Amino acid sequence: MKERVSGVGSRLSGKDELPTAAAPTTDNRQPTTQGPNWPLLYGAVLAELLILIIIFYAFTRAFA
Amino acid sequence: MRPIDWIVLIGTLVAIVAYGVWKGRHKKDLDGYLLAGRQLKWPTIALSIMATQASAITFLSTPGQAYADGMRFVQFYLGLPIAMVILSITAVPIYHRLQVFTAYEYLETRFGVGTRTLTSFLFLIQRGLSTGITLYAPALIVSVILGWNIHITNIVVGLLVVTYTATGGTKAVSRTQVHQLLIALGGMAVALIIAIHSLPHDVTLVEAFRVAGRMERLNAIDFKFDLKTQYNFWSGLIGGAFLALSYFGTDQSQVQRYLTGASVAESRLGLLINGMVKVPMQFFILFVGAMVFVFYQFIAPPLFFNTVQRAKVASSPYAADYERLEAQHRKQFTEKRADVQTLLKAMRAHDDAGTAAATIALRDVQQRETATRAAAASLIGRTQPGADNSDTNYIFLTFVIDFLPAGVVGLVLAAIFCAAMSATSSGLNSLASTTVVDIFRRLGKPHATDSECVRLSKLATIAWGLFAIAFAEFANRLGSLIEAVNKLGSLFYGTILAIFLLAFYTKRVSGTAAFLGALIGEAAVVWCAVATDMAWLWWNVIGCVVGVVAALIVQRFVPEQTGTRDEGRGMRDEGWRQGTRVRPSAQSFVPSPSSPFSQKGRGIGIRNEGQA
Repeated sequence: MKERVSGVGSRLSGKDELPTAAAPTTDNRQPTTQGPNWPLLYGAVLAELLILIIIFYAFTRAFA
Repeated sequence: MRPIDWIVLIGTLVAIVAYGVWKGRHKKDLDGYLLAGRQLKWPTIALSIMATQASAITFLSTPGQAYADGMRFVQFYLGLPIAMVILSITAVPIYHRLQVFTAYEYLETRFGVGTRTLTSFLFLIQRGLSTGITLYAPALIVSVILGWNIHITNIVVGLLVVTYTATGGTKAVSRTQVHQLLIALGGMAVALIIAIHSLPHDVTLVEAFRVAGRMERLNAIDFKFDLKTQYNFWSGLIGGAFLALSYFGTDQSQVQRYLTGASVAESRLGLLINGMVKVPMQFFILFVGAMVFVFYQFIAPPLFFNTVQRAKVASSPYAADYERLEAQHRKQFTEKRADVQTLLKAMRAHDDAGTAAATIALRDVQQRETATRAAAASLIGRTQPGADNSDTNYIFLTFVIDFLPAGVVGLVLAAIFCAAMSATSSGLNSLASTTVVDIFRRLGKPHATDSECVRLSKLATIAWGLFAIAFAEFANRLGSLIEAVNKLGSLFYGTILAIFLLAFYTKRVSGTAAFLGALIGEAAVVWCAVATDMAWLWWNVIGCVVGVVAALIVQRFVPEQTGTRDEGRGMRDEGWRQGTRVRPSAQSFVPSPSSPFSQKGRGIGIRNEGQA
């Protein structure tokens, strides 16, 4: 039996299933669930960075 | 080392290797072998990303950096969280949607095979060399501290890593990294507790902080802008962000970690958790070094921490000079210890004038001691031209071996070996992926089957493992290892980032212009490295900015040709026909006014909100 060829084609069963620019992709096909609030998460990461900088600066000044 | 240390060390390493082999035992296709079947969840991805970056060098060299230079090195990581956010918004959805195996695969859809091949080769050179350095670090430990043969140690550690990386692929790598990172951090935590516990009983923790601070070892933030200063707030935030963008966004050793995510959300969360945890983690590791520094204010440290070099100079014609320096160092230590006691007394008495005077005296003797250590290093350099005359990497280990109790020494050594193995395994894994996907299957044999590619990936892992072992033999001339690795990366990262930024955000730049822009950017970086004394973090900015600007200028003089869309489509059609992995949907990622990647479009982050 011929081995399947690696590549995109290997993961798709037929040409009809080829994704197009407008077609749903892997992620789009996932069940729609309430995902994280991304802007809030990005803000949290940056806010934590700001807090760390302030803490590190205070740490530097406190013991200098 | 005592028997209990050997039991802990060997037991941990054998368990990790066995676990890796067991986890990766199932037969896989290429997707399963290189990307763990794209099924991993964010906790594994986050720990895997952190473990890939945190090699043994991190745990060996970073405390030494804090001992010798204070905690300013933490600023190097300040740009990282910003980069994690940018990559989560931009790169992660693109890579996931295209279902690529490597970051460089995407570039072909935009700029053609030449740019893909150039970036693949730059990656293979840079990552191949730095994996050698990563492997070298633990070999350095045992060769210096335990007197083992460094060549044999390199080979043994290298083969252990190759065993589970080659047999188990990415799944084995990611799963073992979770445990390896936890062991490594656990070992450092135990070392910190013992360092603090070993201080004189009348010295409180706050007093230890004050001593370290007065001696400029808790200098975590420096807002002064200076292009020649290696680590300040601005170089860390700006240069560090560019470096992190390039490292996490375009370096296959990292991209492969989050390509294993089961969805865009899993990959994003992995990156964002890394962004939140990495800076405090590095602060913690540096803090261990600062506490080791305080410890050595009460217990006399050696003049030079590398025992091998010390022995060599003692048997050289410079032996008398070295002895004189040692005597001077002992005298300075006695003086310094007295000054520390004076400082503590003044602080306890809330005597501000006495505290200020003691601080000045302490800094003065510290400067003289630093000069004595520099003279010793210079003497070693004269005794053995070309030898490593930096002892930064040996400081923490000397403390571990000399002062930690039985069992804990084995644990810390196991932690360091685990860190080395985790970073090395990611490196080999990504080198094998790029070799097979971007070189072999793209340029050599487009019709290769999955089983052929998996077999070749295993062979490539072994081959790169042997290359890393060979390069590790030369790594002992590179000074501070943590700097060496990042300097090496910074020679290439800016240029590679420029190519990816052009791909992500420009519509009209052709493959030729991007290629020439990258060459000009790389030339600018090499010029900065060779002809100027600019701090190396800025090389990332220079390479990226010059690369992007040069490509945009070159594009004005290059005929329109077929346009990027047609160029991309032609290549994709060909790729599809040949059975290569270039996915037709890649066409949608050439920026257009209506594309989410266009500046006019909505943000990718918003677009993908709730997708997963």
